[in-house]
Amino acid sequence: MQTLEKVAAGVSVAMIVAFIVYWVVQIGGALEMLRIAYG
Amino acid sequence: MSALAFFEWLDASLLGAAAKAYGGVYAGAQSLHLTALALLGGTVLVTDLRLLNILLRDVPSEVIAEEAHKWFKIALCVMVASGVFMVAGVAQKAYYNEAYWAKMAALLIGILFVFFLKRPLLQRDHSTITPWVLKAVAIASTMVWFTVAACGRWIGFS
Repeated sequence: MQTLEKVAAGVSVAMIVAFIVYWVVQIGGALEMLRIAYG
Repeated sequence: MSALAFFEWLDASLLGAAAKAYGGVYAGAQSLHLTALALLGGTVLVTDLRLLNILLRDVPSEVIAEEAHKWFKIALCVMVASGVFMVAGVAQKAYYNEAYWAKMAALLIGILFVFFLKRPLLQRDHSTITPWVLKAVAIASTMVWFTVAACGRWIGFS
């Protein structure tokens, strides 16, 4: 595996993890607000 | 100049005044922005789904990546130009909007990712690239542009 490929692999995996965490937190926040509002 | 000072200046600028005064022009800019986003999303999806071996499997992925990138650049330029005009009309509101900054962060990540990693990698012969790396790049690319689009829509609801 060449350097660019290794960097692309590392950055891509980091981005996938970061965006999953971001959206899970956002959806969790929305669900929490709905739970507070409607029980 | 701080970020807030820049947004206050933008709000009071000629561009900001024009965006606030001419509703029809603002609506036109919004339509242009969404059309460019659709084009950009199309180029991203067609490239990424091909890299994931889901779409157009009988067409070489190098050809799709090459053709789509030309339109990606055009769509990005239109998006940025119309976006600057749009934000000028609501600059101070945008400064305090969390979704706006999330979109800008995702946009910056997306641009850096495309021009410094994805594009240089896809200019090579794809058969020489490890398959899972191509797939990881495609998934990361789809996720970042999805976030740009979703946060963009979110601005209007926050």
